[in-house]
Amino acid sequence: MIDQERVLLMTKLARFEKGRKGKEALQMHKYYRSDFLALALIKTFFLTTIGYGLMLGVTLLANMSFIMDNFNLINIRVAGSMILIGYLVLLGLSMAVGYLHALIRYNRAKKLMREYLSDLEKLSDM
Amino acid sequence: MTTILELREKLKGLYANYSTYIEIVLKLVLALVCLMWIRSAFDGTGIFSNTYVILVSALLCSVFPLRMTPLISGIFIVGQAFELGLDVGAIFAVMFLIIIIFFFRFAPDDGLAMILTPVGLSLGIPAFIPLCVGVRKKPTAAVAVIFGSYVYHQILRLNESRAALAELPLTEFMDRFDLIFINLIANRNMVVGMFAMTAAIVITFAVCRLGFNHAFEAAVVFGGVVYVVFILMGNSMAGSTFAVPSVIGMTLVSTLLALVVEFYFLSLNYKGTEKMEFEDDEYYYYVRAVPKMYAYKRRIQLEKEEEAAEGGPAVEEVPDIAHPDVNSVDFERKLEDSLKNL
Repeated sequence: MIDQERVLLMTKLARFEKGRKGKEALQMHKYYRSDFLALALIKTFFLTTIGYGLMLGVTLLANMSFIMDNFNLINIRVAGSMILIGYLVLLGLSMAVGYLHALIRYNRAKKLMREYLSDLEKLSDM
Repeated sequence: MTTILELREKLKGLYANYSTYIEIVLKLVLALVCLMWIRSAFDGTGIFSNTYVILVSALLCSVFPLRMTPLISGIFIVGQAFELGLDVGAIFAVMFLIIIIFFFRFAPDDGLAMILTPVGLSLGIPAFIPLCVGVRKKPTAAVAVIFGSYVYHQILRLNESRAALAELPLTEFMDRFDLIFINLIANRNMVVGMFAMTAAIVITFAVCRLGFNHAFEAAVVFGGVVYVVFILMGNSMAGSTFAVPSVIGMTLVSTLLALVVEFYFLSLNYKGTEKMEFEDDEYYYYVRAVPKMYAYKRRIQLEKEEEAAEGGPAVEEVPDIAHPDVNSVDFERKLEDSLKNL
């Protein structure tokens, strides 16, 4: 005999597992909070460094004629320190955004997982 | 008005029953619009302009998740840029990488807004996408719209300097870079347009969340007005050169279109039929979950159809309570049944 309540609960769980949010939450549930945040920060650090390098390259290319015309007038030390400061500012901003983004995602996933696990418990008690 | 509301309900019902097929068709149409626009914008002759390649890619987009459409469109843009020269393609590839690293990593769902903004701009309805984005998305999607606008103007710039680029050899890279890149300071129309779009998105989003009656419709209209006001301010203060009558006319068209789209699609929660498979120790379950409202309506409709097929509602035979046939009643059995129930 099919237990209707059991089928309903199983359907709810299957919907969660099949959905995008559910898949993400299940993936994140494998990590501890600190590990997840650390991983997000490491990823952000490398990606920001690559992104800044690319941005710098494109900016230099876009202003190549100006740079070549005024090459003797450019103070290398000032230009270098400006590039470094720009990198540090961008890195700081990216890290802050990356951290907050990862934290919000993790907390949201945790909330979803709590409900999912309680439903799983209910199912095993049936 | 009743007809419009009925049509809306019918659309919801249609989606609830055939969501799988409708989604595939809509994704196919969306991908075709994006890819055909890219072909017409670049006016190329290479593999990325081939109708067969475009059709196959659109078909792929229709079966993959919606996030794939902006990605494939991005690949097509970079591919078309490579046809104009190795340096042009490399610059577009780097540009997209930067956009992905700094924005789409955090908001992957906003890719569609980015790829549809240039389509809206080229159709002459620049306010349409920002108004829809304001109703449906968060204000952070304004960044995607800004990137979309930048991509559009960058493609325009390439089209302007296409002939000059074809003549210049790759070794003249400095002159080529001057032809490829947009001068951000000189291109006032682009910058003012970006500000106007951002303002329209933020205002539409804010008014939508106020929650009064017809807030969505008011938000769209208000967003359109703010867009025009920002363009006018740009003309008078920032030195942009928009043709005001045409901007007002096209914003009116954009607002009307956005109102239609909002009424039928954006403000509704379309629920589709879902199919699931799972198992326990005893059974395999194949579940088809239909949204409740439509399942109920469908059941009533089926019952009516059955009744009509049988020639009207079935009439039960009512026992004559006033004159019961005492001899025909089996009292012993009735007693046993009632005891069983006890």
